[in-house]
Amino acid sequence: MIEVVGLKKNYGETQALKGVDLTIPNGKIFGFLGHNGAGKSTIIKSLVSIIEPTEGKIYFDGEELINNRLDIKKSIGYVPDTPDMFLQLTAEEYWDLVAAAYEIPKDVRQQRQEELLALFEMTGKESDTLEGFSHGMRQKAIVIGALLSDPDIWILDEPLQGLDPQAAFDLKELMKKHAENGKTVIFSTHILSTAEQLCDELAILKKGELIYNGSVKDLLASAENESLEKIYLKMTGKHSNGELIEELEEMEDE
Amino acid sequence: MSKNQLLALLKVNFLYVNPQYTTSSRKKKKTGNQIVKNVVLQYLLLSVFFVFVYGLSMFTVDFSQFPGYFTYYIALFSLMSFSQVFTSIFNIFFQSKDLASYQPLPFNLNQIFIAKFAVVAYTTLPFLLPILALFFLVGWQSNIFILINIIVSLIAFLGLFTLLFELCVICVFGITRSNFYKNNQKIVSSILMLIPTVLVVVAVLFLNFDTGTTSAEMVDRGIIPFIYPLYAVVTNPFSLSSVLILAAIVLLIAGLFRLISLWIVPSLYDITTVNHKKKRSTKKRKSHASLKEVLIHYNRGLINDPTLIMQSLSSTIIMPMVMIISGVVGAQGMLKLSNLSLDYAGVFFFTGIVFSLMTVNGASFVANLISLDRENFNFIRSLPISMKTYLSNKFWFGYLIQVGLNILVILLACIFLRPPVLLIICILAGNIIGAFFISQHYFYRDFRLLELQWTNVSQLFSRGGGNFALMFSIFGVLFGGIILIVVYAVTITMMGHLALAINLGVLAVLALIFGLLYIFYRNKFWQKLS
Repeated sequence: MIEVVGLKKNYGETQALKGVDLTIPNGKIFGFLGHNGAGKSTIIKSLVSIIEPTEGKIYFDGEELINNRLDIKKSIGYVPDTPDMFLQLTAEEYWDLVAAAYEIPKDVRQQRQEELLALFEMTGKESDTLEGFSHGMRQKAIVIGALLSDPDIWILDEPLQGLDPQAAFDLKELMKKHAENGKTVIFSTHILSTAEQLCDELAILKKGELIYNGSVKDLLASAENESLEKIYLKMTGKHSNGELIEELEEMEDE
Repeated sequence: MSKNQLLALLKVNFLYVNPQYTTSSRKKKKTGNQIVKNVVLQYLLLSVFFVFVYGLSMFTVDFSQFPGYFTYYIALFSLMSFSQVFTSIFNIFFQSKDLASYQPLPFNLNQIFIAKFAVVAYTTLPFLLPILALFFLVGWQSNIFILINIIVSLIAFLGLFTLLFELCVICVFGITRSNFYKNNQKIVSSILMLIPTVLVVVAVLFLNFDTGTTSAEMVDRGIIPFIYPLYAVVTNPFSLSSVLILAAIVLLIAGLFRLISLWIVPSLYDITTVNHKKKRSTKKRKSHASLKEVLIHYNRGLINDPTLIMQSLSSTIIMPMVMIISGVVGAQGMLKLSNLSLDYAGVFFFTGIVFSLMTVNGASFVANLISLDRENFNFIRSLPISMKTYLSNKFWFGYLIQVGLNILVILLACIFLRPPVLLIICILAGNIIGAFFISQHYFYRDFRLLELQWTNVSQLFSRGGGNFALMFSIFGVLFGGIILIVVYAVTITMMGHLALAINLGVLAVLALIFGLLYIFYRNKFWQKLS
């Protein structure tokens, strides 16, 4: 279980997170929703130690992140929101670096890599540099790197962006399977249908504040016959008081 | 600390240390491990080469008799090493911008920094090893037993190397942790990258002055006091003063190390991955800027990158500048250009053209401005604006910057050499016209070899024939040009009565060449755009 307590992050005078508290249970697919700049990536980057929170604490199974960063990182596989890193390395060299970081035994790595290469149809591309790949291919290479050590917790920042339909489908299936095995998948997305289809639990952020944290079922049940899209827009849209939705409904009726 | 993790980090850093070589090796299907081995070997060979070359030049001086020269050479090499370490730290820690990419991986932060510092140290070794050679040489000339000499030289070298390294670390990280740097990153970065080049220019000038004194009956230079203790250590290692000096060096190293570990290390990650506050521009922007104004503003933004500016300037203007300055300093008093008559107008005009050939090459701004657009170029193609207008705006922007720089250097040389005003006008005219056509050539070349997917700007410089072609174009033009200028000047001197005819003849040939070039680029490039 991951617990986030009073998380705040300031960038200069801008408050990206204004004291977020949330709990992410094991064995679930947990989604972050929110507009651009709502704070999704800031929370995710805090979870994987890319940024230091201004205030607040993060616990992984009761252990505070700052007290045991290395071991906690070893249990996490992370996919960033943009796959533009280590571009001069070949895919194989990037995976070598990841394998060294996670201290994956050679034979285990070999087997896992072959499985993932086959799944994402990347076999034969190992010697190509990441900069030579298309956005989607780079994303696949980074996803393979993240899953290479078979980590318990997957933290994926908009992981489906740029993936072709087949790869997106395969990754979604992998995410489901991972959660079914009692492990955790955390991801952010702008695609509400994907969130509705995949997530067990959701956190909705608006301007650095958490405005919903709970199950998707409960959220959908709270507003009968309304799609997640409409509920989400009501909560976060330009007219969060519902004026926009009413206007849309009126237009639809006409 | 895991050995495999450290090796993996070292490998990545070595792959990044010379991006051009890594890219070209990849094209030859070399694996990462082979590339790393070759890079390591290259620096080793370079170290041997530098030791040999500098060692040879130092071999002629008996340093045991001339401690002043010893301190002078140590100061010189220390300055050059300092500049190299300074640049390497800045490039590897700040310009590579890769530290955040390591953060989500389970690497210890210390491992990441150790790997980076190790690569910095290794890549600066070629510039430092001549110091070791000098220590050994002076010990040998002072008849110190060879084994003792080797050990003492190594100790003194390691001491000096560590001191220099620590001073660089304090300088670079001290500057970059300041608020001034955070708020003015681009300007400060450009200045920081300029410092090493200025230091090298200063060093070259020093050497230039030096050659005049060594050829005559040798008189020792003044001793540089704070370096002299090292002389005492290597020439008389067992004296009480030498032991005390070594102890003082160790104390100094320990003190600086403590300062680094207290002041810099705790915030090293924050310093190197600082989130720069975006300054809000206080300038009032015109609400309806013309396309021309927008494009000038855009092109200015494209070249406003410290790495690009320094790499471009160092491959175009700085080397000719260094040569001219050292040449001018060397020739002062010998060359009396103020007495030259207008017979030499053609020579000056031609010199201006040769200078433009030296300064405009594949690394010039004008030669890369289209590729600097990256994916913007394809987007701009989709806009309803004329490509000819867009590219001609770019061309004039790049050309005017280049010609402006050239004029500055020429005027600087003219201040020292004081040729008549009319001859200055001739050299400037030759440069302005020459740079125009050479800029056309390289601008068209950029369009032909368009590269929008680059990650390191040096990839653009070596397009076409690669680095070899770039160096060949610089040196080929330099030597070929100088020979032609000398031949032309000698001809005018010897056949002064025919000066007007010769000048007119040369001018006619040049006019013909320029006319043909104008037609060529108009038909081949500009007209096709419209």
